[in-house]
Amino acid sequence: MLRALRMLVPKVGLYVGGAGVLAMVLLILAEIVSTKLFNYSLPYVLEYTEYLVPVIVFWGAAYALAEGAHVRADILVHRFPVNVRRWIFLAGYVLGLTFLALIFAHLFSVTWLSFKMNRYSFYPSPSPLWPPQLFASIGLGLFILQLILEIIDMALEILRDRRAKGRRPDGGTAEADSGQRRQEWIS
Amino acid sequence: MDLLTVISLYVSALIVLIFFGVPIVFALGTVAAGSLYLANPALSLALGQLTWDGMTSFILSAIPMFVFMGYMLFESGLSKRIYEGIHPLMDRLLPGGLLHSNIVVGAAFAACSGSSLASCATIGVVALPEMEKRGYDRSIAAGSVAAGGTLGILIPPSISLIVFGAMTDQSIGQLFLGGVIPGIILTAAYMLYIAFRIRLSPALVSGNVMAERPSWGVCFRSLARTWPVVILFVGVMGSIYSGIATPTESAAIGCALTFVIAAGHGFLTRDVMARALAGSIKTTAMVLCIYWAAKLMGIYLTYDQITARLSAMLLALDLSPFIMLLTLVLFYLVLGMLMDGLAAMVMTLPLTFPIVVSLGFDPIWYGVLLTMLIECGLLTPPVGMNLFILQGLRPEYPFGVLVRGALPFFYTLLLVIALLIAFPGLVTYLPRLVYP
Repeated sequence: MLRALRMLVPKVGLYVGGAGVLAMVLLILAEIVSTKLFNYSLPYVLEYTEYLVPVIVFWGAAYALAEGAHVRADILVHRFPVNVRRWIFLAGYVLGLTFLALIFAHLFSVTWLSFKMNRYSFYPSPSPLWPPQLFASIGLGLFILQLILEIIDMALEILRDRRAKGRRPDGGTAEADSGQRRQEWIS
Repeated sequence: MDLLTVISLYVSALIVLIFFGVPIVFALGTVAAGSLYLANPALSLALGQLTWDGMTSFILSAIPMFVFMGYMLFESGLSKRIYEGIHPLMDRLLPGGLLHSNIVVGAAFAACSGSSLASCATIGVVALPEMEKRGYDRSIAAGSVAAGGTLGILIPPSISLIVFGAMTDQSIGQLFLGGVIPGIILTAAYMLYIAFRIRLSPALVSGNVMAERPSWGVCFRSLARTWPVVILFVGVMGSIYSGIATPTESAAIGCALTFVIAAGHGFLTRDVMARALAGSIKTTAMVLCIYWAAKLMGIYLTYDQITARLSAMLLALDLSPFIMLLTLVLFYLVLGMLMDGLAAMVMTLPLTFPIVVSLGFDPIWYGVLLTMLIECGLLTPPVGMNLFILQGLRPEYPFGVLVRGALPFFYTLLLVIALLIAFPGLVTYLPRLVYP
């Protein structure tokens, strides 16, 4: 299950984000052609181009997270031992999860309000706001899901290392002792 | 709470989170959401609406498209073709021609894409093996590639200038124009430095220049192959300044032209498109997530009138604006050494921009200056991205050699920054001419 999610989540993020970029290019090209050649501005283009930005960013953020593309200043942390570093990164991700969950809850409630109150955009050809808001919210949800997967991975690594240390009286690392341990289990 | 306490708390929270390796988007976002909640719990309820309003912007939509265009140029191999088209002429005209090619191609690539990293990687892949074969000194060879790459974020269309414009409500057209003269000066300054170094120590490009001088015929035939640069530059920049398109529309035009040119050359496969899309999604999500968090931060700073109060306090100190600016320059230089430059710009802009404007500096000039300060960070250890790209391409080059090669270009960049501070007209002349 976890493995399947690890494969699926970034891929979905990449596909939707990529489709968003292509759709954006095509929409704007269509608008340019229509305005310049036929002197007619296509309805919804400007508006939906704007809506595509949060869609690309939030869906794409899940993929970027899986690829380690979200920048961090790790020059100080890299001086710490691996175990400490893992704890720090885990804490950072938990903090990030809190922030994203908060935003997700509020963005979702904005979407719900838009749906309930039948809100429309302030454009010459107004369209309902809740569909793009919902789509962006789901993207943010995917970002959160990827972050949870990263947190689980990191927590599992910490646990594995602790177990490995616990088995050894001298507290050595899992990597150093893996061969010997395998022999013990076999016997 | 008094102003200094609030600022100290805000800055310390950010410093602790960022330098403990928390991804910048989470560090900024957490501090922003926390500050908004502390300032007024009711305000945190608006986080959803603020997120939606902050991210749905027509100007911002230029970013994914310009990034995509850059990746298409890179992944399709068109950028390599541009390099191969320019370097014979440089070889013919100047001693150490390949070093000059790295700078000129960096500028040409910048004029049609806007991504420093793609530019650096492209030039590095093609130029480093060739320069090695010809016995060029490794240090200056690597330095020139890294420096050529820095031009990507200054010469328009520049992603960093779009982000600056979106965050500060400045005209992207004016910002792009503001980057033109500094871009040309910086290109010339890099080339002057290379010429000067080679004159002082000809051994740096030992025994190859005269022997392999290409004929004029070869030069012009090769140069003719760089027509995509002209088409892309005219398509993107020409469409903006002729009034045909907005910067966002010009990004779509650039994508379409790159697609057609790459497909026309037979370079555009499904694999190339997939890699270009993946690269652009990663970069766009990273940059715009930080933008989003910084935007929330900016809302808090405005709500609590932090920047206004800070500006008033600094003005009351009656310090010379020049000293304040110098402090900011030093601050960005140090910050650029410690973290990604664009991230540094986005996270600090809500605080520094109002101060700089209240000190009487021109916003367009500040945008260009800030972009150049970010460029410095690409060349300086420990997190100079262009240096890392070069090390990835040539792992056998010791990092020290790369740093030694890049440092003189960093000093050249500092000299040009000093020139812009002394003569702000170099930035503001063109925008004022075109947008009176």
